[in-house]
Amino acid sequence: MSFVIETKDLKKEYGSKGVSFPALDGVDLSVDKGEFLGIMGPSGAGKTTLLNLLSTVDKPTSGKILFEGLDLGAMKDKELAKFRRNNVGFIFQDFNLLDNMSVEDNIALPLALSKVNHKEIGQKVLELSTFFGIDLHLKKYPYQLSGGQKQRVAAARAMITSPSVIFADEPTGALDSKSSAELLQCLSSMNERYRTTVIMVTHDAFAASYCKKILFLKDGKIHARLDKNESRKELFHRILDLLAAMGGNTNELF
Amino acid sequence: MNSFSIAFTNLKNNLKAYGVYLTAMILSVAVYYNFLASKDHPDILKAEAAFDYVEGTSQAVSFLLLVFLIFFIWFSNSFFLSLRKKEIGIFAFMGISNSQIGLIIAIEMLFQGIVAIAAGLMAGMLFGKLFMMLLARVALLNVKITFFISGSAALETGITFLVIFFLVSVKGYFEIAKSKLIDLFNAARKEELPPKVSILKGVFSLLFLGVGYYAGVQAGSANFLVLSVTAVVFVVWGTYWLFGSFLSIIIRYLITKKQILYWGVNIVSLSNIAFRMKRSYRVLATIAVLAATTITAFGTVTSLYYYVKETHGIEHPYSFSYIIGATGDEKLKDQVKSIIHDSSHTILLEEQSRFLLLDKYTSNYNFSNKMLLAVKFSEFERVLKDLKFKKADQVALKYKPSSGEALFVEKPGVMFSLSDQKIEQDIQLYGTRLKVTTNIKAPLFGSGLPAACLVVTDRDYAALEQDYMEYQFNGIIVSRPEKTETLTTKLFAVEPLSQSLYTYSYAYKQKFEYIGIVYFLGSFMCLVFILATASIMYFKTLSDALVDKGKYEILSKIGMSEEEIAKAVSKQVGISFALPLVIGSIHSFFAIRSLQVIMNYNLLIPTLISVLAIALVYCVFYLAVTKSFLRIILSS
Repeated sequence: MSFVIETKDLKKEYGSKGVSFPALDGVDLSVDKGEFLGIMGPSGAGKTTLLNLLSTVDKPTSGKILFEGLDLGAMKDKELAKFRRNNVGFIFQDFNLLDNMSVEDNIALPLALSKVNHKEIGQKVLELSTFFGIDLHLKKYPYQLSGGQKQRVAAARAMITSPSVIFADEPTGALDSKSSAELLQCLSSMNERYRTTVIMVTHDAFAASYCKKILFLKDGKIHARLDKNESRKELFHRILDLLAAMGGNTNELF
Repeated sequence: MNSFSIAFTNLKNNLKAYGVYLTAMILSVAVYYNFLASKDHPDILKAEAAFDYVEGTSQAVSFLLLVFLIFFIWFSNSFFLSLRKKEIGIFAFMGISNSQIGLIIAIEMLFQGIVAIAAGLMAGMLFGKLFMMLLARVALLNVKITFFISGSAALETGITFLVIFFLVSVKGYFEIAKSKLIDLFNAARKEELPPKVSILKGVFSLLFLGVGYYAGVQAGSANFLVLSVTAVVFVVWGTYWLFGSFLSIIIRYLITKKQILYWGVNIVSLSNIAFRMKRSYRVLATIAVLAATTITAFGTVTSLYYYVKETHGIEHPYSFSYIIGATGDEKLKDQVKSIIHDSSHTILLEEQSRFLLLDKYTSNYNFSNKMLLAVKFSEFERVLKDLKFKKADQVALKYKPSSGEALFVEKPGVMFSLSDQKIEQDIQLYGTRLKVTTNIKAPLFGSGLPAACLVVTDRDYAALEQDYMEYQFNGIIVSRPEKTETLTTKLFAVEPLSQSLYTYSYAYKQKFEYIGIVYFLGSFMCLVFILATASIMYFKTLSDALVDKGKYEILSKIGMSEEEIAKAVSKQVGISFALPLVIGSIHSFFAIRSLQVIMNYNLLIPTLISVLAIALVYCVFYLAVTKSFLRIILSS
């Protein structure tokens, strides 16, 4: 069994000595290839910290992260930036598209920076934009698109380097429910078709119900875990039940 | 807390942030003060010959300077205002009305102005002596400069700048009072739209530049006033459209060329510039025009200086010279020598040459207003060697006249090109007919005998000797020729000598002083221009950095390394620095070409010197700006 990501006793503390508090307090997890993993939990549980550590944006205080067997802690900053560009993709809540580039150039950006042949880039852009249903908007600029379309452009950009893992941080946070459903459907079929591992942080139970597996964080520790075995609807209800049992206020989840 | 105290606290807290702006203002005040003070300086007033020049030149220069400084202050001020929009927005959120914020900002600006005036005057007075010493040195005035403060210049500077700063504050007040809160708060994040470009304007910009260049080059030889004004209007207009449309079209085209765009950081730099063009083309075009003006002005004064220096050896080869009859007057010569021996100067060279005064001749060619002399080639060759003329051997070999031929040496002081020219003209002298082959540039008698001269073979000279009067020219070179005023006075007292005596120190005063002053004030003004245009670029680029901060944050999130960010920034900033400089240089090359036609003299070297000087200052600013840009976008 090969894991894409494995962590061992991952800890992260914030603040300076004396007044530090742990954001992550010993997390052990392993993510299979082709997984669609959701990370849930109340505010301050350490979701985003975990995502930042896994995606190499931040460094752990102690513990190990193995990425396809590679120890990330041994890498230097410069190597990490390159590693990040080639092996992982990001989708953010606020899209993070560049206003001054056309949709096409936004998607092409990571490959252009790596100086890949322009014809090859063009082909990949076309393929992915068709997959995400934005091929008609390639010449437009981000300000001419709806939120859902923007997020699909961001997803296409995340996918263009054919990364092994895509990290999505509250990807539906700025979308209305219809666009959310469309986007999640896209991510789901992308996960199926390209066998790309997706790790998504969300506190929206509806979004989480598209995942195959969900981890619940609380106070920096893994509190619980759910696996999808039947329909999405059934999973959705189990998530709600679990959240209620965790003592969180279910209302804040909608 | 009232508006007044808020403004004061603001100023105190932001002193560091506005360091660049404040320094620029202080320098402006200091420089302007010095220009005004130079004409009141008692030591310069003593050097009467120079005084008229200083007064005239410094008046013209200080007017130009003022116009430029007003533009500069106005410009940098609006940039600083735009940088502070967010801070102003926060004030507005706290419930302070727009007009009140406007008042705070206006008072703060006025405070800044007063600080700049006070510090500037102080700096100006402190460095005044240095400034005057430099002026005296370049202008070769033999005066000792003492420390001096000109009250009237200080007053005039103070009032002038107070008025400027007051007007700028009023403008700031109205700008804020009428702005909308939402615009203030989102100033930096305002949505940028892709610029619309007009292909027609792009084509016309090239057309206009072409017309302007053509008119400029023609201006040297035809109707100067009309053509030069036409040139300026068309070139300036063309430049604005060039930046507004033509360059946008080019960049837009580059963006569609994916093999260029998708190559490393190009995608980032080009996209940023393309969107920026709409907002910044006016600034870039203005910088290009200013750079062109500066290069041309600097090129002109450098050319003058260079010209005078280059022709100096030809015009004034001797410290003293006088003319006596052909038989010579040994008694007089000894008398001159003993007077020099008694002085602190030593004789380095004594030169004697005989010449004929060709008072009657006929030719179709205009030989410098009829006055012509003739010398033997053998003597000419010796004089060139004695004077250590660089091309002495070359002249002897290449141009040695054969029987019936003559060389033509132009009258000293006539503006001419420094290269030799073929002329091929016949000249009839009583019984002898000569063919003048070449006009050569070489020292001979200098301004002590201001006439053109034919160099003929020794045999032809013997023939001419039958028909014309012969004289003897005596030239002496002494040590330290520029300090020979007392010696000159003594020599003038020797009776038959005074009629033809010509001295270096006399010539020196006349010409070098004037050129020196023009050169110094001119180049100093250019230096101020260069610094100010470079600072405008500095302000502009830094305000770009604030807008681009968000973009670079995103880029770093999707895996752009710091190294790549630095590369993209250098490229982006580099292009916006290089464009106006390159276009300004091209403009100035055409402007100086027309000057070249007027002066009939090759100005390539002084032009290159001035372009390089400006490029050097720009490079320094470019490096500093790139560094600050990176600091802004990488700071969290």
